[in-house]
Amino acid sequence: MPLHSKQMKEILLALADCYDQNKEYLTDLDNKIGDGDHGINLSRGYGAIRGKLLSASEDIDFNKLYKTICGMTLLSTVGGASGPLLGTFYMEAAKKCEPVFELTDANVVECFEAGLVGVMNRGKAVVGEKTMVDAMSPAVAVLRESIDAGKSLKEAFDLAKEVAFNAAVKTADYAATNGRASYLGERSIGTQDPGATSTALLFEIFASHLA
Amino acid sequence: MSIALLVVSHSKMLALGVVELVSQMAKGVRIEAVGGMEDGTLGTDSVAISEAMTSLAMENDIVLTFMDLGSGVISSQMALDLLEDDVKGKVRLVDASLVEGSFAAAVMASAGVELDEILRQAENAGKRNKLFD
Repeated sequence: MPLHSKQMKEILLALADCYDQNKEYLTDLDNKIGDGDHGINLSRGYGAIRGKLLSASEDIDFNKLYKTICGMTLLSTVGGASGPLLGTFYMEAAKKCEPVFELTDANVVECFEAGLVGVMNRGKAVVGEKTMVDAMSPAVAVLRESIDAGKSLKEAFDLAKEVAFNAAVKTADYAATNGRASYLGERSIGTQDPGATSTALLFEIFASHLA
Repeated sequence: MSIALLVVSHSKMLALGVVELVSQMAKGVRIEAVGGMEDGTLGTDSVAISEAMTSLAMENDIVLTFMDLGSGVISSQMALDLLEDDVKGKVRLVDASLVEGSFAAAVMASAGVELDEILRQAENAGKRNKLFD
């Protein structure tokens, strides 16, 4: 079943609420191993996206939704490294979609794959450095496997969500070697990465809003 | 060749402070600050950085960009990708200590030193000894 841009709008609005609700949790994680602003930054960034979505009078096509409404808005409102990283995620995703109002399941996965590559290039990050990539990379791989195996988008995101959460929890076991937390080295062990955690939440919101 | 400097920091106060300090010894060199978020909190805004780069590139041949930590760097790299090609060709991100590097570059630019030498001096500026005891 294709993903309609109206559904995507609901997902983004739910994500904004989710980051509002988890603002303190994410910020507490970031206080331990970073600059303590991850929850505040995401809440502010997605809050700005919510503002643009709610003030739009017409349906917004996927290209504009990803590039302008998500990408450019996050770039100018998030403030931390997540701004350019997530901004890049959406802007690279936008390159995979025409100005259409429906994406096929395969298109959705292509967007996530392009976004992941963009994030890894922008952050010069690979898996295992205790960053958002540690949750995003295995989750996107599961999306691809699931869709190729003929599963629905909902099933794919349900599986990807599980993988992303497990990967986020696992980031507590090792030290950060990229990003601000890498200044702490071994002292970052024991706290799970806020970026990997907020990424897992993103997959959860997708999973819970697909039918 | 006219060389301008852009100082990027999470903190508007820090960016402005660096500009204040550096300008004192660099007469005739255009130095701009971009720092913090629109709402006054700490952070770096790729869109604001790209606008500052564009505005400096309109009146100068080269824009040397100095950054503080973490997202200061990533946001500046992102800002480069937002630029038109003709502006992008004028902007350089300098791998240097923020204060020492921008100070060295500004003094050299003010003295009319060549770009390659300015970059070399700026990149090495943070490695100079401060204490000789």
